[in-house]
Amino acid sequence: MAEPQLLTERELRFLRELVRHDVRFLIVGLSAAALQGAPVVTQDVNLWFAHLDDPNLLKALRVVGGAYVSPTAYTPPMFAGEGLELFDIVLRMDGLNGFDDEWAHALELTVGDVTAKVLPLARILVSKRTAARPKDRLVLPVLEEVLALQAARSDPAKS
Amino acid sequence: MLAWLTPHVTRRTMALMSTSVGSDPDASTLAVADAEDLLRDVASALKRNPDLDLDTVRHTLALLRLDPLARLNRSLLRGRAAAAYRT
Repeated sequence: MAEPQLLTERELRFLRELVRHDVRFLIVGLSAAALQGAPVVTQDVNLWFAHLDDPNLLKALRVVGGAYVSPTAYTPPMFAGEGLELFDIVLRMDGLNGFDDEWAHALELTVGDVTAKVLPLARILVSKRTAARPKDRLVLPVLEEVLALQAARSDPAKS
Repeated sequence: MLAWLTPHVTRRTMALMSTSVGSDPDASTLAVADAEDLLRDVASALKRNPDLDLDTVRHTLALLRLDPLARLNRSLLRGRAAAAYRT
């Protein structure tokens, strides 16, 4: 039976357009952890942008029929448009270095036919530990286990 | 680092597939071979790091056999199902 496609072609198209327009963004949060094999659940895909006022971001949005909705006193910035509800805009990552530094050390993973930059598991763990909201604390043990497993599998001394 | 994230078809599964060229591979035989291979990987990981949780190791190694999009879709599917259950 075919795997249900939750990240649909429309959503992949947005990622593809971001990459095609050279928009600098990182996939962060639990969706990034899931991409790296962590058995975690999430409801959205968090994207951390270098510059939300990047004109190329608006161009990529227009290609997929979407738009950028500026933040208000009560609401965060968001994307509008079919297929874009899945994506959450991240403005800052607790406990991490600036975007440029994290970008320089990010992983490149191919999602469908899109190769995008992804925050490494170790850095996701740092951000979750620092944010320390109840929902962050809940996932710490699993992320720590997966990171330890990753380290054990990549350490020849332990094989 | 990237080798860790690369999905793979196990050597044993590939061997079974190659021996079944020209005939339909027995799906259950392949499934059992894959499961055995996964469990060998789990055992190997736990031998190297006995403090790890068996379930987390098994689920993680199983997810690493999928491509990244499938991993993310499983995570979203379960996340949405959990959210629907709560509301």
